Amino acid sequence: MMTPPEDREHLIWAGMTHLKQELDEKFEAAQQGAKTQVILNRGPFGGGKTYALRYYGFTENLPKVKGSKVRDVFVVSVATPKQTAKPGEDFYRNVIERMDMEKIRDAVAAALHEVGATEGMNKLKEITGSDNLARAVAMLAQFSDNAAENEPEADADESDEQKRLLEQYFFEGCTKLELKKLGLARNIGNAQDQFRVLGAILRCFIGLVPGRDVESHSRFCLWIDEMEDFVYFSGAQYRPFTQGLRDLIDRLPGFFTLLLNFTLTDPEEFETLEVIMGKALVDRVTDNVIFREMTQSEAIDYVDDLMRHWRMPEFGEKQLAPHFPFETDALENLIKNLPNRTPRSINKKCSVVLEKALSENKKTTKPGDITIDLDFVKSVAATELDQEF
Amino acid sequence: MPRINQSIVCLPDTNSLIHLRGINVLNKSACLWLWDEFDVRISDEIPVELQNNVNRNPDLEVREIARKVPSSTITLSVNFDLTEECFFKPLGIEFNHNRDMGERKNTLLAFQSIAQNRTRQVIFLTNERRAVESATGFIRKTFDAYPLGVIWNAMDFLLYLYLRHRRFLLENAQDALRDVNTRMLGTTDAMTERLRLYNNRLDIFDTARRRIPNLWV
Repeated sequence: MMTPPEDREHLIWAGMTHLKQELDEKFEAAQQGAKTQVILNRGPFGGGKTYALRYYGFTENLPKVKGSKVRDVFVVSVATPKQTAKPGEDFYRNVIERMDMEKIRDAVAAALHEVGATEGMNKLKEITGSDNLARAVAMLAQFSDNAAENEPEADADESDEQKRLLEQYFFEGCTKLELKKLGLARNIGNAQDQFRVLGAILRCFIGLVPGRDVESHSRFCLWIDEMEDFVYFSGAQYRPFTQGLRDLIDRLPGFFTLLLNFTLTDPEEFETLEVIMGKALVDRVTDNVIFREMTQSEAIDYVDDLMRHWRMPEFGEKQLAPHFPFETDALENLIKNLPNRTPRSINKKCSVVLEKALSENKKTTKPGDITIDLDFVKSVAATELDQEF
Repeated sequence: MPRINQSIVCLPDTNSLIHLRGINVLNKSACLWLWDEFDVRISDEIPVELQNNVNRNPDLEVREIARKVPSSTITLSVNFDLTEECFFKPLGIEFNHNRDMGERKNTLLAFQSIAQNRTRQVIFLTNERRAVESATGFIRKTFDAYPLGVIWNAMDFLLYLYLRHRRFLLENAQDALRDVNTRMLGTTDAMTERLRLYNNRLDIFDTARRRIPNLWV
């Protein structure tokens, strides 16, 4: 596959054991500790960063930990907004949508219920720096399904209307009349306001209980893909967005993990990161994970793992070659002649060879019949070269 | 030969002017700073190209440039085709009809400005990457072959303003570079490398401001 799959069934981790171990360790620390993490994932194009984002996006793929750990882990991923005049604002909306309003309402209700309405409101005011924004976030709890079970039945139509208006408030804003109906003084203003609201909502997922006791809190992981696209932002777009991310990190000093995917092919890596993301954001990075190219043997392990996942049950009975359908020297030659040994490059080349082998043999094919030898791999490479010129 | 005008002639092309529009430097548009700093001369093709751009993008705000352009427009005083034949043909440079007309006429204007004693050297201001960044780009080839002056892009001009004017603050200069960089486009890698390079140079000037402030006295 050239682009990472989105469905759970196809999201398997193949090879790259050191990288998996490194990422697992980060997520273990996330589950067992309170510290806020800012993890910078960097590597070449096609190196597996987006794949990792999708893989760990399914919480069953997170490493299992024993002993004291957080109650829950939430993983939300978004890509850096593209072709937009206000990337900071689009980012806020994308994150809210990915979290899902229903889950947000439930999280706010649960958080407020746990600490009590008064302490909850105080905490929300502290995080947002605004009484109005804090009240707006707290209001979400009223429309949680969990809250509805405990509350006396209100006028259903009016309740639906309030719920709809409140949702609109968080996405687009309301007219003066609509604000009055909600009992709010003002809309969420600029990007700064939006990131404060986001901070408050994330804090509700984490839990409003004071202190840093791991078992009393959950961990929220926000994963941002394609950070290299910040280069496309003008100064007016870039500053509110990076300032907002910095504010988010500073307002969530515990139980928050921000993962940033950055494609970098530049030898002057650190300098480039500072220029593109801003020194203040780079200074807050706590961990660096490098998605480097695989070695020859790691690449072969990677292909083997992938093939193993798709093997039919009868494979074991047939006594076929270990890298079937590739003969050993064929696979070694294929990997050796790749321009780079990223998962994307390997997937692409193997796909071309496998498809060609299938298309030439399909009339006579039974499972186990086709083998790809060195001559075949070389002939495919020669054909590609001819086509290029 | 009579004593020449000591001012520096700057020949901006359409792209560079458009990319500098609205970039605020010390409460003035960067475009207008061009006219403050240099003797700006443009070929008669540039106003045409500017108008074409406005026609395609009605929201494009070029009024500030439009006011200045008429007084700086110079028509070539010699035959265009003959002049191209004299200077470009020996370098193996050929063109498709009317392509790159603004840059071509500006280049010939460079020859005219020097030959007619208007200036000794020119600053050729262009954001046309294709014609400049590759060794075979016609502007690069021409300026490498003939001693006409230097080629700048809009980001070079911003660096120049930062060097010249101490009140131009670092953060504002970084934003200005970023803005022009996004307008110049390119692949993600190319844009990233360009922004890194120019920010690096800005940092060098910024360090100099702090370490040798007397340089600006």
